[in-house]
Amino acid sequence: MSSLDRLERHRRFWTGEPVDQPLQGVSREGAFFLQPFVALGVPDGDLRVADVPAPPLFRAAYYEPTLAGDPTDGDLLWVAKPPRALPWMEAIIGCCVEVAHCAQAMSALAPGVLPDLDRFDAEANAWLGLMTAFTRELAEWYGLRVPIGQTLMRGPSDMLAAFLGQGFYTEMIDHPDRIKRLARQCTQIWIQVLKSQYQHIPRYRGGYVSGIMGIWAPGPVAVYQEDAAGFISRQMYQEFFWEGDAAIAAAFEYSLLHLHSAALQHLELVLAIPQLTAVNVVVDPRGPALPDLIPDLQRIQRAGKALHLHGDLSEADLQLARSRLAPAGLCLWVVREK
Amino acid sequence: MDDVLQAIYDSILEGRVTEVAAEVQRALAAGHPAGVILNQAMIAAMAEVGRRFETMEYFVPEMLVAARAMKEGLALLRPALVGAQIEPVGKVVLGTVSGDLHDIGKNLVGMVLEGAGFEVVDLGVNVPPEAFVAAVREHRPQVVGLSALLTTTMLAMKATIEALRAAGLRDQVVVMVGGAPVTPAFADRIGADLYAPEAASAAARARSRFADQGGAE
Repeated sequence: MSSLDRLERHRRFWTGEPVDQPLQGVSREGAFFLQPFVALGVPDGDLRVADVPAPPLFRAAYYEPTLAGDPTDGDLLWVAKPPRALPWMEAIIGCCVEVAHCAQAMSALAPGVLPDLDRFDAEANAWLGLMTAFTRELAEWYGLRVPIGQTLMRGPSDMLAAFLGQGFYTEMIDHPDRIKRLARQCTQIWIQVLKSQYQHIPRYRGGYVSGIMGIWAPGPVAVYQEDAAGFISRQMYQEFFWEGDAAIAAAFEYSLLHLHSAALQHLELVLAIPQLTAVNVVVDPRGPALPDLIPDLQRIQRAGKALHLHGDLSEADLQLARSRLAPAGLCLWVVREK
Repeated sequence: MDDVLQAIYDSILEGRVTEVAAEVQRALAAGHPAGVILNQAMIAAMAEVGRRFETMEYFVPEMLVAARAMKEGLALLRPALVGAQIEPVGKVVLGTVSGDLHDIGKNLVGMVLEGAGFEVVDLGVNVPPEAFVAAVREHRPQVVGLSALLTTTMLAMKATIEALRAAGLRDQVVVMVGGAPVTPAFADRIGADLYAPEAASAAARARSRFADQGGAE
């Protein structure tokens, strides 16, 4: 047991100040994020904003039972957030949302007619309106009792991969200027959306808690990911997405970028994002085993970024991580594969 | 390699669709046999694309444009291949399993398999087990390829294999599985015959399996 107060240890995660042991948690949320939607009768197929049950219905179907089950996650905090099953950012830019009960998932598909992102209107955007309604309701129900936070918001490359489908990849070669323009627009929308949420997220014990990871910070935190960029070269990442990722990091006091262990080809560039505070690496079942990842993980720590490591980590993995990685600025998050 | 074959090879490698089309027409006009164009220029180029993908010189965009160029060239070459009675090396029925709407990985596998000389019947996404069964009955493929991107849809691969077994078709096809969450251990556990970690290796593994069984090489 650490001698430090829990929130002080969380604060030190971001700053890299000394701690006697890393933050550690075992997620109890599971992978079945669609369950509350199924329980509320959302059918298979296309999902429009109007089809989503009103936020108060989710209170009884999801938030209250979750809280009653003590969702504390080791050192980490459980955060009430808009339902993470929804592909929020993709929907906000105009992608179609498709529900698949058998997959326990929602997917974002390219719209038949691509909206002009230059004409994005946050005030009139129905999906953003729904996200805000959830955040406001959560703040009203739980106030300062439970941390309220950012939900899963996929980053610019993921937004564009959904928006353009397979064309996303070929357009980078065929029409690079178009993709650069769209990437800039997605970045601006991403920042605008999260800033709009922070207008309604109350401070929790003087700070904010990262919605997915459950780590408290003294200021607003941005958690983002670029999974689609994991399928492109380092040069293309630099050309199309590095600038946007740097802009997101610069727009919030604390930031955490999620990467996959099987696609660390951009790591050097990610570490060069000056205002990025933390890097999350998920240990992919098909990627390199943890012992082979250690040099990259150490590189992240040497670059002065906090390291959030997550995956289906065994006890041996955890021991290895604790022995080879510095505890300062380290969080080990175990997510058991079902 | 002859200049025109080299030009086809290079154009596919660099994904230049218009040039591939022009060079294939030039090669045919110059009297190159369709089989030589296919094997020495086009399939060889896609094999090199696969090699570069595996060594991380190429990523998805480069692979997609190369496969697109290959497809364009193949469309022009097909009448000549039919005329010369050159058969595909095998037939593959391919689809993303039930509940999963992701298609890029599956499309890449399809293009790479075509590039390796297979005939591909693409069933699309969100394909229920019974649709795979019906497609196997109709098309009589040697290989069934199952793709999934989500951990929650991987189980539909098992259901598809079981449906093939229940229909008495399991022993007639090689079942190949792949997709981001799929591992060799999972492939073994559900009774798949082949596991492809990514698109590039799918064609090589399918061809190798065929060779083992005395089929195409």
